[in-house]
Amino acid sequence: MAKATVLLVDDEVEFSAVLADRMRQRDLDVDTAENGEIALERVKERRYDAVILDLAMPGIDGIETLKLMLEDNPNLQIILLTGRATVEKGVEAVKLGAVEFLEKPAKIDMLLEKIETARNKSFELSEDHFENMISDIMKRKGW
Amino acid sequence: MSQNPDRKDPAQSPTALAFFGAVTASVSHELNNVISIVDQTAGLLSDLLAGPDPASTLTAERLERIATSISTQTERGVTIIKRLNTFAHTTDEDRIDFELNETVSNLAELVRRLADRRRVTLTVESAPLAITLSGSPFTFQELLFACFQALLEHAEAGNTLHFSVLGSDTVPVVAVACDRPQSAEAMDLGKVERLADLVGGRFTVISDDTHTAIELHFS
Repeated sequence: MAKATVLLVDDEVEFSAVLADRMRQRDLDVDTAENGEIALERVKERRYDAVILDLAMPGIDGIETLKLMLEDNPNLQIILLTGRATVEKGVEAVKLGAVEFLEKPAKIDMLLEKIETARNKSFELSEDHFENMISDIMKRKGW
Repeated sequence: MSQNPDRKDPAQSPTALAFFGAVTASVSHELNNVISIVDQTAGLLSDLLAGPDPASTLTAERLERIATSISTQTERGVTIIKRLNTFAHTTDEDRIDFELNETVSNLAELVRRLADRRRVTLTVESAPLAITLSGSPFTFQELLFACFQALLEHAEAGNTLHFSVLGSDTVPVVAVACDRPQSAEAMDLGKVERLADLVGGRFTVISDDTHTAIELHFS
């Protein structure tokens, strides 16, 4: 099975670097982005099984980044990891389509568990998408 | 600085609590980031020790990097806590002598993250000599924060907000300026006006084609 692909988005560059290092040691394929704009470019360039997103960032904040990412790819599995966890923000993020809302500091095992769940969901959604595409083609062609 | 005698407890008005909350929320977020980095760095060390060949992965260079990271973050955390502690103690006394350069600089550092989030650069310029004011340092900072907020609200990414301490012991002046033109009418200065009155100071707004400054004068 291919490595799980993960995008870490956090303006605390040192935090992303250490977490990415630990994830790579666990055989994950990890990219990092230090702000929302770079993260939006990354998800256009590459398919990720999960995006780990900070809420409070300079420029486009986490909520805005979440909205823009899901506009382009509604099936994207986004996990919010933030030090600014309030119930209101968590509810808002989940309503907008985040699959999880975790508070910093988070243990890596917990993160890996959530990434695995996100990856399975992402796989299911891409399978459904593929089946729907084939079904559409068959209907259109009258097969 | 002659304070309004009607004021009983400067730290207990709703706006004072909102100010205290805004500062501590931002600072606690930053402290949480420091702790998260140290936590992940400790985790990385444990991972390497638990790996199949720690002797080859835990090189002197890698250990040095890990030690430097922990040391840097500890220093960062200590600085943040010292600033927060200084700020928290400004509620201790309703009237006290305090040094203007230190107070302005401490508040500016505490709110820097709020400017960073808007991609606004924050700079601080102290007066060459110490300037002592008498009054509530907490309310004085609330006033500075109100000026900061009034300017930040209209600032755009790339702008600079500048705190400067001017004048002298006899004529102390603090200016909060932004390199963006803004008329006084367009700014929300109600809080600035109320707080300036409370601390016994007065304010003026100076605006030209390139800058806007709120000057606070104390006597």
